Amino acid sequence: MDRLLYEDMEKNLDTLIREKSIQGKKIFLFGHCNATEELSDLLVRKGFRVEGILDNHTGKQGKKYHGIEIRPPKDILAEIQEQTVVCIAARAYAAMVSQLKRLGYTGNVRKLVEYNSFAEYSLSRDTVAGKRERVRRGMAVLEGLDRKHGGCFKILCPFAALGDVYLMMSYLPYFIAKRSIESYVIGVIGQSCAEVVRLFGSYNVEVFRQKEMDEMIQAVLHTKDPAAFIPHQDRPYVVNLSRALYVKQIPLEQIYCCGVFGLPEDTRPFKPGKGKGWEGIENIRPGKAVILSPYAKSVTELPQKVWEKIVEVCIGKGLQCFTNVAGNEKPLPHTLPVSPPVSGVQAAAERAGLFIGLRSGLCDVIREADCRKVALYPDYYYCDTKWKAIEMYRLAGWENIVVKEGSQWKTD
Amino acid sequence: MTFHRNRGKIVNEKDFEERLLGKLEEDLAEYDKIFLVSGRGRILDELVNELCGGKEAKNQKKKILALSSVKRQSREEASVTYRQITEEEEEWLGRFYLTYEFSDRFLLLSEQDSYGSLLRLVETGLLGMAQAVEALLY
Repeated sequence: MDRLLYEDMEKNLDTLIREKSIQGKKIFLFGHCNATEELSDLLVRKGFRVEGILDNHTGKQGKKYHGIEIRPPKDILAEIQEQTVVCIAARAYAAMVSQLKRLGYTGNVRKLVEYNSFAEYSLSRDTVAGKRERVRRGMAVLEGLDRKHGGCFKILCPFAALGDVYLMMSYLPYFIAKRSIESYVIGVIGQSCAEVVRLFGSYNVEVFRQKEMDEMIQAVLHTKDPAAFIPHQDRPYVVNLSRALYVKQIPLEQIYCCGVFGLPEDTRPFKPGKGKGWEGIENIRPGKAVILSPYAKSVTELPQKVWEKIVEVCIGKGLQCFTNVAGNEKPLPHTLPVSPPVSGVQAAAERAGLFIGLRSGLCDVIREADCRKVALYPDYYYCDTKWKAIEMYRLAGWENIVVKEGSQWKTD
Repeated sequence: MTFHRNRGKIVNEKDFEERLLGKLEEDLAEYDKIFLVSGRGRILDELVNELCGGKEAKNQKKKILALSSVKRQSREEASVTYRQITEEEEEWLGRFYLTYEFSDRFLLLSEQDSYGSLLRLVETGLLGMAQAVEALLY
């Protein structure tokens, strides 16, 4: 789960606790997904008991998450409803509320996470006026971009994820050629995403904040701007691509290639350049070190003890151990911190000879690195689908390992 | 004051919008899912045919409404309610949906080229049309 969303969820839960909204009630969660699992763990850590996880998926019903049964939503009707509360951390909050209401549930339903600045499930005049004002703000940002870049074509990446930008860049040249676009600018959120774009060449890049990008994209949609394209698999809300995952398992890269860009399935992706060197590389013993990457913005972290064991094994093999850190992140115990820029991570991994990372966008950035590469996957489902993360994000040429409870590490 | 021609009558924009918003609220209360079909196209037309009369639509239990300005022959066995609306209403609803997401049970189906879509997965052969409908109805 995205760190910012997690913090939002924690804050909202603290508010419920302060208001005494969940104390003394049977707590049910709705929609089994990674976010719900995180909420469940958080509730347990705060001393609460989760009675059940409601989910419509018959394939999941009867299974358990940490001893909590996944049950059909109608089961809640067997409870004394005033003595229950349903907490929702999954994305489809409005649909779930509606379903509970239609079932006849009269208890309390609480939303724990606000995912989406594009959405407000209301048709009130105030809401409509506010959203129209938001479009006007977006149009002003768009006009600024058009003025600065002579009205050229705009590619707008709606989410600040390194992996999404990497996949976009891998297939963008085909799209540009297909549409015969002569000049274009790529809009991204944050400098790190801009660095990913630049790995692929000298592109015209503009950096925006999330709010600006959201409003600009809304303006693109509303005005049906013919000189703009939004290359993402599920943002904004008009993109219905991810729904395909309810009926078929399609790896994320294929969703980009075929669903976003409309390219044939066998289209070969473009590869980035080698990136730049990095002055810290001199501290890494060539071929006798490991770069560990345990942190990621949008992925559940693995338990600390998993990494401690990995460090223990690596030290036992005589490897110099480094943790890739950014901002306030702490290096793993008995390792040294390294913070190469996005453009320098590949060089660092190749110098070390071994990279072991939580499967995140950073793994995409260095997917072509010439070294041994291990991607670790927490054992979770991709969003509210029945596909595991490894099925969606598996990397060719890497060792892809799902870390389950009780996993044992081999020493090779 | 802007005027629309709606069903042959000239009405002012404010009344037009109030009427459509009121109807939208009623439809969202009644239907589990509403699809607005905007424009025409080979793949889009096939999708609408499958949505309104295919096996997936028949087998599902949700109450579904499809809105479009295109006249379609109604079928007795159709399990999706198809309602023809005027071109102005289709344009207004589409534009309104592109202002913000007012419901996750309202979806716009069109052959647009500003972003990816399920229709592209159908065009590239990764998904069959029946699968696309099943995904939309999920």
